[in-house]
Amino acid sequence: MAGSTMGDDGDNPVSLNVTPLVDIIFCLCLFFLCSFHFKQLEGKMDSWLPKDKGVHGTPIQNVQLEDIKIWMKWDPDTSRTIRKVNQSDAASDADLESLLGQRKANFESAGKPDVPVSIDAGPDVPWKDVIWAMNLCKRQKLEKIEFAAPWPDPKSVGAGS
Amino acid sequence: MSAKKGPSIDENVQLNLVPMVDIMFLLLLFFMLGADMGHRELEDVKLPEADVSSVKEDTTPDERTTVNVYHETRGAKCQVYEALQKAGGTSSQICRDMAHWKVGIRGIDYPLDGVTKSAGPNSDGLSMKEKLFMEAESNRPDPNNKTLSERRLQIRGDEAGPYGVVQRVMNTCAEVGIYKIEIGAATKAPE
Repeated sequence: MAGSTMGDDGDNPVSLNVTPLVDIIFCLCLFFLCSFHFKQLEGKMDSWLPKDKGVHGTPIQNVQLEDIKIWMKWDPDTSRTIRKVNQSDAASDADLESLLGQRKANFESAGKPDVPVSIDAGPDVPWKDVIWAMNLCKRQKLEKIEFAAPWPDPKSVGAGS
Repeated sequence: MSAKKGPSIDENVQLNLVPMVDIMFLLLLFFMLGADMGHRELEDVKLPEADVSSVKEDTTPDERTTVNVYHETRGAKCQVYEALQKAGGTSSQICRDMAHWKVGIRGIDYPLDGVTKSAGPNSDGLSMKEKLFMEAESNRPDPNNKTLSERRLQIRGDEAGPYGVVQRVMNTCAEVGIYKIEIGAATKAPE
C-alpha cells in the first residue's frame, strides 16, 4: 500500500500515488462525520385497542366495573395532571403505583388475574404523563392497557398554550 | 577562516501515510456502518421516557407502520415549545396548539383531523384516514371481516405534545380497523 511513500524508491519500481485515495477518504469521512448522530435507544409498549368496543362495537347496556380505570385531567391552575384510580386520588407516582397494586390484588383474589387497565385522559393532558401512567401499570405487571374513547368536548383543547 | 562542513542531511524526507490511511479506513467503516440510513421514515421526535418499555424488535419495519406525531410550525415560532426544548423536557408546559402538530407517515405530513387531504410537495393526495386504511388493507386475514386488520402500527409521539393529538391518531386507527398499537418510548441503555 502506498508504494511511493514506503521504503526506498529503488525497492519498488512501481509507485502508487495514494494522494487521490486519501483525499476521497477524507471527503467520505467528513460526510459521514457530519451526518452522524447517535440513535436514541427506543422501546415500545404494546397497547392493543379493544376489538369489540369503541367505534365498531355495540353500545354497552349494563356498565360494570370490570377493569381498573385511570382518570387523568389537566389542571391549568396548578399546571399539573390530576390522576385518579377509579375514585381514589393518586397525588404521587408512589400513590398511583400503590393503588394499581391494590386493585390488581383485589381482582386476583376475585379470580381475575388478567385485569385490563383503561386510561381515560383528557385531550390536554401531556402525552408524557400518559406514557408514565402506562409505565407504572407495566411495573405492576398490568399488561392489558386500553385507551378510552375521546371526550365529547374537543374544544377544551387549544384553549391556550 | 575555513567553513566547517556539517553532517550531510538527506533532504528526501517522505511521510509514511500507511498508518493514517489505515485509521481513515477504520473511521470510514465506523461512520458508514453507524449511519442511520434505514430509518429515514423516523422523524426527529423526542420520545417520552419509560423504564419498562421493551426494546425487543419482534417485527421488521416492513411489517408495521410508523406514525410520527411531531411539532412543526412551518417557520413560525412557538415560544412554548422553544422554552420546553431549552428546559430539556422538565417543564410541565406543553404546546397545546393543534395547528402546530403534524402526523407523519412514511415521510408525508397529514392533517390531524383525519379527513383533510395532505398538501405540499411530497403529498400523495390522501387524508390520514385513507392512508391508514391502505395500511390496514395490507394485512386483513379475513376478507369477510373488513373491520379488523392485523397490521401493527407504532405511534411515536413527541413528549411535548398533548394526549389529544395522539388520541386522534388512535381514533382513526380504530375507525380503519387497526388495533395492534405500539407506543414508542425512550428507554435507558441496560446497565
